[in-house]
Amino acid sequence: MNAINHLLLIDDSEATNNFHSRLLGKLHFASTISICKNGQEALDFLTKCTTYPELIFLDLNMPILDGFEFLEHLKGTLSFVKTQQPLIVILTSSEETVDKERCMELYASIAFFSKPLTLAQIAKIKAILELNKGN
Amino acid sequence: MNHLKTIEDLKIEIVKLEIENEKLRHENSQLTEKSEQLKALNVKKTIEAQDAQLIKYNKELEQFTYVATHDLKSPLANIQGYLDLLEIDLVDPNPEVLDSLKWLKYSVSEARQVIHELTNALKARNSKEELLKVINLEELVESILSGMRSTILKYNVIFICDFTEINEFDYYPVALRSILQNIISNAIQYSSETDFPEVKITTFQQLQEVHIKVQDNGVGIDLAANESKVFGLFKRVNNDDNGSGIGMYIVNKLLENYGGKLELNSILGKGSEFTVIIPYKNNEISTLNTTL
Amino acid sequence: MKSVNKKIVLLGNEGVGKTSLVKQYVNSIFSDEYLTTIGIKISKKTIQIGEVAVNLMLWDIAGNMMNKTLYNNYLQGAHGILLVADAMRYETYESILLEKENHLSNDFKNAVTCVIINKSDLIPEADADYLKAFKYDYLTSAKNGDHVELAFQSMAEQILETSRT
Repeated sequence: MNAINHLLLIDDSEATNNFHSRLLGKLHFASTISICKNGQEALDFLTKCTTYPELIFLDLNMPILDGFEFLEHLKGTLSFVKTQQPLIVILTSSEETVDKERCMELYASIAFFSKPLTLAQIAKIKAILELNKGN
Repeated sequence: MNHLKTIEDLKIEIVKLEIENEKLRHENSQLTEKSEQLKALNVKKTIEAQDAQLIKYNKELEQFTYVATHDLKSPLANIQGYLDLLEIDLVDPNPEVLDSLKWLKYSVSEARQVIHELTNALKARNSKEELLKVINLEELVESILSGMRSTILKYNVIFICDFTEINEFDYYPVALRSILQNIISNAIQYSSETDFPEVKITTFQQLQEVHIKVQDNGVGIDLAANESKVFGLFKRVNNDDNGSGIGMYIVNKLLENYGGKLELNSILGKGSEFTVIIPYKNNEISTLNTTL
Repeated sequence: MKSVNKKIVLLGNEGVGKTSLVKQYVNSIFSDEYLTTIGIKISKKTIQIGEVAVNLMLWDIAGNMMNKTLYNNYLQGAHGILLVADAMRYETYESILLEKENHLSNDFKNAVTCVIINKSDLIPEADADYLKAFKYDYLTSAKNGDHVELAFQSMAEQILETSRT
């Protein structure tokens, strides 16, 4: 039984995307896992997809359109986000001082975790998803 | 008659010559002065050029370090992640495989630790980002020791803290935490080699300074041989478990940036004393961003 | 004005309230948060006894040092020893009695020793018999301050007395 239907991974590192899809695939976390290499690709993808992802993993440092810009555009261009707000998990490298406030101003449903993703962290993410479902 | 004239003439000649001489001496000294000035100007220009060059190299090196550490973080995180995956995937692994896995994880963690310290060292070099606040040293040290609890218990180190002389003063909390953490960590390492490891932390006030002394009863350091090593980047005085040696470098950079200095006293076989000296303004109530 | 330094050591198991007693006495504060003491913490309080300004150096010794009797070295020169127990845990009382009888009475008989039962605020009001099992010098509560000052003050006065004789 999958936790969610659709998971979207946005990261410019192929190794990182592969790792997350392997790990989460193994745990049968999502029926479908999609991958985008940067913010622009992700925006294009989201305008076209039919089953909207409930969970998005986002890396902030990406070329073309970085994480912050992605969040800004997400808010503006995608109207149905308001009805199906996906949980966005921002994966940071250790000691990276992320401007959390700035992120949260741009988008409400955000959680921050540091790389690499561990089983314990995945459990936490699952819990947050459960909580959001309830609301 | 001619004879007399000649002497007069000679006298006049002599005076003229002396005046000429004077002029020439004067010109000479002026020329010498000008020459000195030109030399000095040249030297100054050379130094300025060298300075600019050094600053440029320094900046480049800093950027290089930043890029290196930044770009290494992601692959290392991935290696760690894949190792975790491997562990999950291994069906009935033999002990040798498990052993390799264990050392692989340990090595990655070491590498990540080095990156972590390099990042901190870079941060320590850069301009002040912190605000001056009132420090309660007892609370700060308690917090630091709590964080090192497992190491302290592992080596059975006894800490004695005496801040009765002075406990509160203005400084930069994050910087001071980092400074003391590094020094205390060293003290634990040095003293851990003895049978009854003990670290004493005391404060005292001297004129316009607060002294925070961290004393251990460990092996001591041969200062004559090793002083530059203690504070040098990446150098370690003995083969301890932790630390790439970058700790003391960070301490010095932070003190340079935020104000203060470090004194080291050590006697081989008896122990070492690291004293952090911080400027202290006598009891003016600091209205600068005091948070209680 | 004469000024003297007197060393008072606090001993007792982990969590009995040694640090809280010191904080209450020196700073008049109490916190429910428990942060186990690591090693030894020295605090100072200066009080006036008659013509003398007494600097009380309070040595708060971590509870985990007691079982191993590691504190011996640190007891050197102690003028007073406060043995602290938790009213809610009888074993902490037995523990300090054991220390007192087996050890302190021999090696540190020149020091003034006091037994303190702390956390009196937790003793059920209705239970009048509760304290019968304990033999103590002071019943304190670091939380509400009950008898804290009294305990330290009396200890200080006793110390001065013994130093005069």
